[in-house]
Amino acid sequence: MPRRRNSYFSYLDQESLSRISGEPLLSKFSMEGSVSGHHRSPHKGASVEFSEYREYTPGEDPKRMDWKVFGRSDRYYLKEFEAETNLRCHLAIDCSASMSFGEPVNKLEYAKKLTATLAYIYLGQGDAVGLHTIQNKNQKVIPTKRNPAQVQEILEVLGPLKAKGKTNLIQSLHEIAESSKMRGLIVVISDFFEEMDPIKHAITHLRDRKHDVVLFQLLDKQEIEFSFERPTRFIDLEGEGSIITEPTLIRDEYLKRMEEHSMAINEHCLECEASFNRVSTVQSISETLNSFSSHRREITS
Amino acid sequence: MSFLQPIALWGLLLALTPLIIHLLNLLRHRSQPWAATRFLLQARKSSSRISKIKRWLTLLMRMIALACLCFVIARPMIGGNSFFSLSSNSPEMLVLILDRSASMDTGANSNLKSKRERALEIFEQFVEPWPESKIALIESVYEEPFFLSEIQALTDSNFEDFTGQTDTSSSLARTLLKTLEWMKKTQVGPAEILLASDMQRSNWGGNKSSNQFSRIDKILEQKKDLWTLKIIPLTSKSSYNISLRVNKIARTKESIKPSLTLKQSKPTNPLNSVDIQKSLNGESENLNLKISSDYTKWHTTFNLKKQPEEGWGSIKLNSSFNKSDDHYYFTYRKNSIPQVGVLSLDPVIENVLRSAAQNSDGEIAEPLILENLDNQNTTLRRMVIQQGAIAKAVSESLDKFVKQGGTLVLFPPENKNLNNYPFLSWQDLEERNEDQAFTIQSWSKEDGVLKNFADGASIGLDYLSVLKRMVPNQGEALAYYGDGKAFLSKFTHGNGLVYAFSTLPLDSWSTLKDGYILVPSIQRIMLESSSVMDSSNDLICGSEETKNIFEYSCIDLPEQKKPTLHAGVYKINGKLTAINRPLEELDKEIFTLSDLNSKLPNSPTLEELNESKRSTFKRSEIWTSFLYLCLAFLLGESLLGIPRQSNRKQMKNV
Repeated sequence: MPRRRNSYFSYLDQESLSRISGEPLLSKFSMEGSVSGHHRSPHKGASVEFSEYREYTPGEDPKRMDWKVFGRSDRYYLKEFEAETNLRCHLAIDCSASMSFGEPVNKLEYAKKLTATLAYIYLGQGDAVGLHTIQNKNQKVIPTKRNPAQVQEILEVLGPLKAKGKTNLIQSLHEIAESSKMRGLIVVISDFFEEMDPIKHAITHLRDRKHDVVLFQLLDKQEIEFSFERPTRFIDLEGEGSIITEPTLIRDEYLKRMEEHSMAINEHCLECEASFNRVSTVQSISETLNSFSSHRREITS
Repeated sequence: MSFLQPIALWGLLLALTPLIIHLLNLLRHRSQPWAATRFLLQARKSSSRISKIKRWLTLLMRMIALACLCFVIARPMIGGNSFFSLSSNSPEMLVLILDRSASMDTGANSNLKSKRERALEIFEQFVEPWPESKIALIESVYEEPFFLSEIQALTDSNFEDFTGQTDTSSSLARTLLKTLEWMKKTQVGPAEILLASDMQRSNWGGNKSSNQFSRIDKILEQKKDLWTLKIIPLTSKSSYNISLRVNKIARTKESIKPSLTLKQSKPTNPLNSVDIQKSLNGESENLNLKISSDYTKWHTTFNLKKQPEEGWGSIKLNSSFNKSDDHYYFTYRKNSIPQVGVLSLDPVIENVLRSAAQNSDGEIAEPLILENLDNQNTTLRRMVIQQGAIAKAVSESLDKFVKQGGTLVLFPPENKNLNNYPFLSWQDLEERNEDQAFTIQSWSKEDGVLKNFADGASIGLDYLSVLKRMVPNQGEALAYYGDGKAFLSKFTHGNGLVYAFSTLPLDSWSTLKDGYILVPSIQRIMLESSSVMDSSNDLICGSEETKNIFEYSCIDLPEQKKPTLHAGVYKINGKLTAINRPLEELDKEIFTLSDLNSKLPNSPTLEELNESKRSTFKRSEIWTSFLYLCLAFLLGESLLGIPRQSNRKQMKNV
């Protein structure tokens, strides 16, 4: 068992951790946390961050009254501060058979690394992290906890995960949206090879629940370039049959469709203030997360 | 549509290659697990129609381009002046078959140009409108085709060896056949073939050429739409000419006596005399000879006193009408009793005949060794005595020997079928007993080999008793039996003489063995054959023998002549050799156009060249059209392979 656990730690990308862990990854929306943290809260509370002055209403606690303002203006004002709380990060990883594609690292392995590293980072900054494995059956859910030992638990689940079966992404996203009562960060890691409209509905549903939604679309180099020359039988990994075709003849059309699909998800994300990241598995995890953190800083500054 | 190289049409199967490669590629696809099948399906669905059309169009264009290439190689032809021919209607090749026989240098017109020169002129004018066509010349001496880079080469003096005057004969059927076979082999397309000849019948070979004519006929029939054969008319009214012919040359110990005939043709205004130049070993003597209007027979003598034992001589007419028929050359060597060879399978007969043929030195004649018959030593024998069975090859050799001027004395075989000479046959064997033996009744006592001796005594033929006889069928009888049949016959064969006895020098046949008739008659035949000029070294100009002479020197003229082309006296292999023109070149019989057409029944009717009516080929080649089509389809295929601009942009964005 110890050996096995040690091997799962390799899912944590050391380079990313060393580069990113200095600065917190913030959410651009206010979060409803249980303890204080780095993220904005919809509630006012004790903090160093000034929020506003508000006129005193009888019945309120006179302790929060600003006596200096009373001395200058002879009126009763309350001085309010921003409440800062932690966030609940739900990491959803797609484990359908299509995620098993890719060389030298398949998309699922890449997703595992990305998930584990993100979990470590968020736990490190005091946030609660949970895990949802999106599978046809035997889906696993780890509720959000901010206990540092949560990393171990997440790695124990991620480690043996295998990509198989048809995707259940849309339904799973709706379930996550419904099950998460408090607003939080929903990170979805998938190839998003689904119909466009259901994806849009799922994203909208998550956003309607006030969640900060982050999508990572993982694509293999071959899926992006489609550089096949000879006639090829393409066998669907999710059991949808096979196609014999001459790649040279359909290459242009395929690339066009693929691009349109990613663009459509991106556009919808922009519309509903979700974040979309298209990632090639050729990129290192640190590059991906570096780009992600830079983007987060930009939108939260 | 027809094809010049139909075998290339098998290449059309190659046109299926792109399709086969395409299908093989589909069969040889590799399997690839794939996640984004959704997009593949969408891409195939939306691009399938255009892509499929594009793909099949590409395949089709490749296949058509290959098919067009095959058609280009197969050289297709279509009828008439087609739009598709895309080229001028010029023949691919213009071929001149030039008869260079001696008779072609007889004046063809009132001007001094010979028929040969006139033919070259006509051909030069003929090719003028077709500067793009290739020009080939095949002349009758070497019969080898060669191309002319420019038509002016025909009259170039450097080209004299191939277009100049010769003393040769020609075999036009063979030359024509060689030309057509060469053209067929090199797959010549449309061609104009002009035959320039004075159509002398002897040049067409008679019945011997029937096989050649049938092959010519077959080729001309096959190529009737492609090739046209025309005759340049050169048989127009002939101008004045005087020719010299040597009939016989007698040789004695101290003189040479040629017997000649001079013939004037077209004697409307005949000459009364002609200048003749006699030369012996380079010393010339000019004579003026009075001649009659038609034929003139003339005998002259070359005195060999104070002359070397071996030498040469010539007789020339000082006329300028035709240089090919006004001269005769001869050589002579030491005159001696000829060597005699005896050939008989019966040793008794052989001994008797060898003894009878002993020479003036008392040496008896040698037995003839069969193996040596064909070598040069045998050709020096001036006389052969033969009896009995004989193989066909030996009879052919003896036939050749006689034709060249040898003398053959024949005795009957035991059976009439045992020897079969092409020139002699025997009657059935007749036998009588001693009481009723055949006897000779009459013979020529004043002249010939059975004449009386100098003292007037008879040769004694009336004492001859013949028990068996086999009478020869051919020849003039020199002595007759009582029943009128010939005892001894004589006839000429080629340049030689044949004597045929009707009985054998055996006791069972006759008393000929006693010698009183046999010895003087054989000795007289030997003497007669020695007076015939030995011309065994002499050759006919243009013959196969002269074509194989490579080392020679010309004796009679300081300028260099060639034994293949010109008559004269040459030193070949150290021996003096006289080379004369073929006698048949003096024959005036014409092989008419209708004669020629009758020999070629299946070919298109041959016509004489008519300048105003040039050939329009019934069929023209259209390979250029297919070449352009091939290029067009290859271009189309390339254009189909270029990606659309919008696609290129998308790819760039990705």
